[in-house]
Amino acid sequence: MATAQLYSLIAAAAFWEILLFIAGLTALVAYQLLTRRINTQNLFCGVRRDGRKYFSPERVQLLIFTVAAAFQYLRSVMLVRHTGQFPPVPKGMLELVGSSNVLYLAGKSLMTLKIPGLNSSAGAKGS
Amino acid sequence: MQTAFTVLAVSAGFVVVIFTGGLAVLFLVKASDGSIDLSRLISEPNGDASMSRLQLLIFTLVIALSLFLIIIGNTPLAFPASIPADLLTLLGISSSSYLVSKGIQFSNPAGVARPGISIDPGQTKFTAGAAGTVSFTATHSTNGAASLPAITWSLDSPSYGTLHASGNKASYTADATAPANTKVTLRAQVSGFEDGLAEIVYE
Repeated sequence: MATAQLYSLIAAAAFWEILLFIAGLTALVAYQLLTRRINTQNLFCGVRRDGRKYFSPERVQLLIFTVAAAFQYLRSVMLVRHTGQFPPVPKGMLELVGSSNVLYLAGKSLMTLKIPGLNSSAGAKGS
Repeated sequence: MQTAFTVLAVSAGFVVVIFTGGLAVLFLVKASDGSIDLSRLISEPNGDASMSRLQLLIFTLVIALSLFLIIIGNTPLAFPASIPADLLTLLGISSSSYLVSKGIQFSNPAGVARPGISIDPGQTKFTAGAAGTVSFTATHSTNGAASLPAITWSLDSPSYGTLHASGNKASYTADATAPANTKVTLRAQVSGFEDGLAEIVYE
């Protein structure tokens, strides 16, 4: 077998190896998340200052926008991968993900931190 | 000489590919059979799952897969000439959000306290040589809830007696051969919780 063919064989083997590993790892994590072997307990719950848990809609919206942005970007990559360059991230997507994260952090801060004059009694009264 | 180097390069290439492939397969097999425990991959110290960790995990996997697809899209294989600033901004938003989230969480002791398991009764006494059975119940130590994820019941060494477990309850039957002044520890384990312990004493 010619040397060039051997190099091609090594490159092809490395390609399939990495592709199968990343795909396998992604599938494994997704499977274990869906079957709850990876702990997802209280994924949509926050903890108040007094230790009680509460349902947190800001976490739900963060998950929705994260998954949507991830799929959108992966789709863009699939369309332009032959160019050998990363596709640009749409401005709207950045704003959406940024706003979603700000909302999540604001909600978490409000329920967890003691902010004088703003939520001094919120943690104790909420359900 | 040229041929010798070519043989060496090709051999080294095959060795590296086979070695990394073996490592990848080993990791995936061990992670899938539970030998490599991923159960707390996105968990907080208090046992709850973390949304910011999940977000960072999703974006990391997506960017890793994208980078790989783009590298193989180049002919010959090549790293992309540039990484868009917007992509770095997206990862930056996710990572910053994760860090700020940790800061908020660690400012509150309730956010990092690891929950535990309580076993009732905490201590049981038997007379050495006598028969007897006692039932134990495991509950969440913070809120008293009996509904816990899968509980693994076990006896620490010396493991005198027999144990029959079902959900959050376990029945212990004393061992008539256990000598006096022996202490047996009953352990209830749940992923993400501190172990619950109960003591069985032969007098």
